[in-house]
Amino acid sequence: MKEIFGVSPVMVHMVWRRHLDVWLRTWKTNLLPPLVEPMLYLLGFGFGVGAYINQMGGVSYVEFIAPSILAISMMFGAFFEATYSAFVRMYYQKTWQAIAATPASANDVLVAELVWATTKSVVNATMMTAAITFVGYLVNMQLVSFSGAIMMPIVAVPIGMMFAGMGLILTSHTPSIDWFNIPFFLLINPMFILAGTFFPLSEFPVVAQNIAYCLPLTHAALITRSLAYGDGLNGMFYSVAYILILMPVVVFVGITRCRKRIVS
Amino acid sequence: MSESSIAISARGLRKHFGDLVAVDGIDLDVEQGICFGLLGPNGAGKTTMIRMLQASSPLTSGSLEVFGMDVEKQSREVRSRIGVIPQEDNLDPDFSSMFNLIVYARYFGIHGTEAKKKASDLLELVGLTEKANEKITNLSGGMKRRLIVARGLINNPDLLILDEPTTGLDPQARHRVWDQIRSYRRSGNTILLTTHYMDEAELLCDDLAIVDGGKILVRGSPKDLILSTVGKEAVEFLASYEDGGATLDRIQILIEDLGAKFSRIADRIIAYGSGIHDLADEFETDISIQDVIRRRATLEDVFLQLTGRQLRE
Repeated sequence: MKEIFGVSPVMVHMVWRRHLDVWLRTWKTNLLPPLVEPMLYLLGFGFGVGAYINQMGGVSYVEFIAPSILAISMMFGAFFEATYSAFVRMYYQKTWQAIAATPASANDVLVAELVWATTKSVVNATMMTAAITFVGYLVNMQLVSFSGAIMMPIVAVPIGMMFAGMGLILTSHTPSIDWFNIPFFLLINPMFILAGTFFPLSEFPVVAQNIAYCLPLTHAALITRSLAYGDGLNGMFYSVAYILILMPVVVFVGITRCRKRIVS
Repeated sequence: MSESSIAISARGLRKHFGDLVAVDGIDLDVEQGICFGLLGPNGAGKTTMIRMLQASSPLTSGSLEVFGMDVEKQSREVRSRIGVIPQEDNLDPDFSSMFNLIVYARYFGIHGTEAKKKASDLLELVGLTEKANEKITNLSGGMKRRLIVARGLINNPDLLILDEPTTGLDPQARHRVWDQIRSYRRSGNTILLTTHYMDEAELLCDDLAIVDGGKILVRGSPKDLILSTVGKEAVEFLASYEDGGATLDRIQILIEDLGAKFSRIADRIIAYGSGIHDLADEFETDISIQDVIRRRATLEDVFLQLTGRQLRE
């Protein structure tokens, strides 16, 4: 069997298809949360709060938060899948163990988890881009540029993979499913607010700005903002580099540590 | 015995988890075409050995081969030729019975109509044809177990590994699973079975090893092990009253005087050998003995003799 670093692409594909098959069987319930929640933020904050705000970061408030919501949905898509869902498969359903008795290996299973989580990120990015574009059309605004709309699912790949790797590290460590509340409250939720998503980083004191620039979501949001405004990846060197460096590190650590948990 | 007729071969097999020694230097050859039993109390190292066979648990030292292939270096090839039926239910709850098998077949490179045919044949084999489109959550415990057996057969394995296949099943369901194991054995395949039901092992296994503390205590056919360890006959003295314990103490001394083998567990003494009959007659009417049971010696007696007289938790 053909292998790359001990991982079989054919087996990864088969495990990925299993996740896809589960998702397709329950897509009606699966589709709602990642679509409805960000739309509520867009409508509630963008138009509701936005009515009291003339401009933020040089644009209307709804234009300001539309790209943030895209970055957030990419993050949630991958992160949720690599934490709660992966843990359910590992701990409750024993799906990983069932697959480990077939020619697929533990590494294949873990890579498939990451690829699947990334897939969710891409699906979220695509759906949200379409939904935001549609909302923009209704109110006669272009919330996402045409080039940005094309690029969103593409940048969702490295961004999703980065959050998936981070999630897998937590999954390798978590003693129970409730434990995930800790990183969600201490890492994900603060990032959600502080990563230059709902107000520009320039409003922060310098110390807070420096902290924000360490957060992965900050860079994801800078990229989606640049794309949505039609500026492509111009001036995004540091953010792209941040993601392309952090991604392989967390992927490697996540796989290695999760492997230790299931192969012992 | 030629190399090619060996299904499983272990040499100096060891597994340590930190300070805990789960497998403590096991040498074992299992011939092809037999049903081999791995028996032992909980924590004896049975499940660890199964996990080593499927390369889910790296060897600390020693070697382990399946059909002459190293389980670590050729793990994919090994797993493509074995079927594993695990202790726990790890079916996909979101899929139907049929689709569980089809998805599993894909990992073995079986696709499309071939997978469908294979899956429906197996559902028929385990008597679940009518439940083909039923969701897993709607199946009873026995049905799930049969489906797991069917799943383990999806790749026509040359070696079928069953880890406590009938734990928690009702008698009817146990017999159905036993039937499937026997028919698979009849078609010339090798079976590795772990259990702590001794009747199950006696019924199914051609050859077996009793393990405890990661070591093999004895090895042989159920019949030979019974004969050589405890003989043909057994008598159970079952204490009844509060003072029954004292009577058991007396019986124990008498048995020791006779030089017979015995096991003492909780409220009873089980003694072995033909010399026990007079003792049985003597205590038959004793008021502090609730019952004296004369019976054939079984594998359970062998197990109790060898593994410290009680099952551990």
